Amino acid sequence: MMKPMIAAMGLLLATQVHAQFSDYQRYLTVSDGASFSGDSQRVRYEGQLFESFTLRFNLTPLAEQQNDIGQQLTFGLNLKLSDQAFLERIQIQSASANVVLSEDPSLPHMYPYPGVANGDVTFVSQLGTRKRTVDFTGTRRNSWLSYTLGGGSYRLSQEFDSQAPWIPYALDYQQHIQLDQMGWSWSPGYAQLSFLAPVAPVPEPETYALMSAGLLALVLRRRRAKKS
Amino acid sequence: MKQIWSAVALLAVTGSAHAAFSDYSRWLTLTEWKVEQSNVTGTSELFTLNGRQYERFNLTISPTAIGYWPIQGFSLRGNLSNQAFLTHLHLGELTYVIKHDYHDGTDPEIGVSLDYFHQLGGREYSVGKLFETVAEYPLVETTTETRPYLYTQTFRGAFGGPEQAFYSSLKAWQMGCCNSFTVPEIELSFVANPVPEPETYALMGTGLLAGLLVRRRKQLGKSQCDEVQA
Repeated sequence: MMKPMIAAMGLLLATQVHAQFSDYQRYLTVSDGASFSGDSQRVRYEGQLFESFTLRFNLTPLAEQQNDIGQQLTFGLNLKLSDQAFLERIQIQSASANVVLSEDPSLPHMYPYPGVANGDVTFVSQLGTRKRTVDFTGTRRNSWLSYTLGGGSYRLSQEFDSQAPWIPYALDYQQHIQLDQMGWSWSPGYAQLSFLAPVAPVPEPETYALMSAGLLALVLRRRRAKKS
Repeated sequence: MKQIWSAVALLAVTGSAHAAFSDYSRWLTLTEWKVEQSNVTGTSELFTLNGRQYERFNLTISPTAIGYWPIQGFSLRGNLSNQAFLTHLHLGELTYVIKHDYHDGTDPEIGVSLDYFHQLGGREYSVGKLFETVAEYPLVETTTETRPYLYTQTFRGAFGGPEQAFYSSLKAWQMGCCNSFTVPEIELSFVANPVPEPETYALMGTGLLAGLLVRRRKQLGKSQCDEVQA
């Protein structure tokens, strides 16, 4: 008699449990080595219930090494969202490196970067058949004597409505930064992803009551059979 | 008598005109910017449903884009009478791109207002949008795309539903050199009671004429009788 009681209690408790953030794994595949945190919450759009997941990524280097030129950094992130989820927003800010050169009166007022530091950033964003590739390459001069590598960003968002198509989404971000000995400092990038997932209708308490009544009846019947 | 004959002659002349596509304007009112220049094309056809005759209009409308510095864009509103039944409305895709260079010294105050929706009764159904931004300081490029919007209903012979309208408008200030937008096409079909054919008018005219003649004859006959009695 104890076991069925425990089972019934378990069922009752199950109704209290909320959809968990860890459910994101049912919809989203994240490349190895990514560090992130996230949460989820219930939202309602046009009378429909959804679980809205938000993930925040710290884009720390996947590889970091020294070579003859200087420090070399490699970053990357790959996300795949299934068509069982609806992409609300993806925002990705690449890592950036900065240097301010000391003033040299012999140099012209504004001049191209004199060193060998270089870098490239690629974002490939694909929503259904809509594909966008963005390349950022090289060093840029921000102002007199101040230079930047990387720092480009990409953002995609779409509005939800009942007619919106649910299509898969994929993002691939890759970045390389090769620094030289001019005194660069760098900071990692970040990314944030939000998506909607359908909420399975939660069984009504009545359903559970009916089910446990059935279970109880079965148990009683078994007991009676045993007795006789 | 002369007047009546000239009326009949007029009817005969109108008989050569046919119920035409351009009759759509009896039910669909287009307003806003440069409407008279908007490109409206399409067809009309008669069909029979449950023994009654109706007319179906199929239209494709391209709003006219205008550019008076510093405003550019287009704006078109269509209001459909509730004596017409909308069977199909397709609001085409629209894309606009804004590029900005924070270093080239132009005014970054670019404003775009986009209103693109189907109005059904008191509710507005906006087309779905997708926004994309690519930025690498000092360059920023933003793209806005709409999803095509499709509304369909089956006509079963009744009019008098809710008022329907559509509005397609993009107004941009300071579009600058490198910005662009596309003007979406709007397709719609609606059903209305047929515009009476000229033959119908002719028949009606003949009937009226006959009525008049009969009345005249009666009056004449009556006065003759009066004379006899006198």
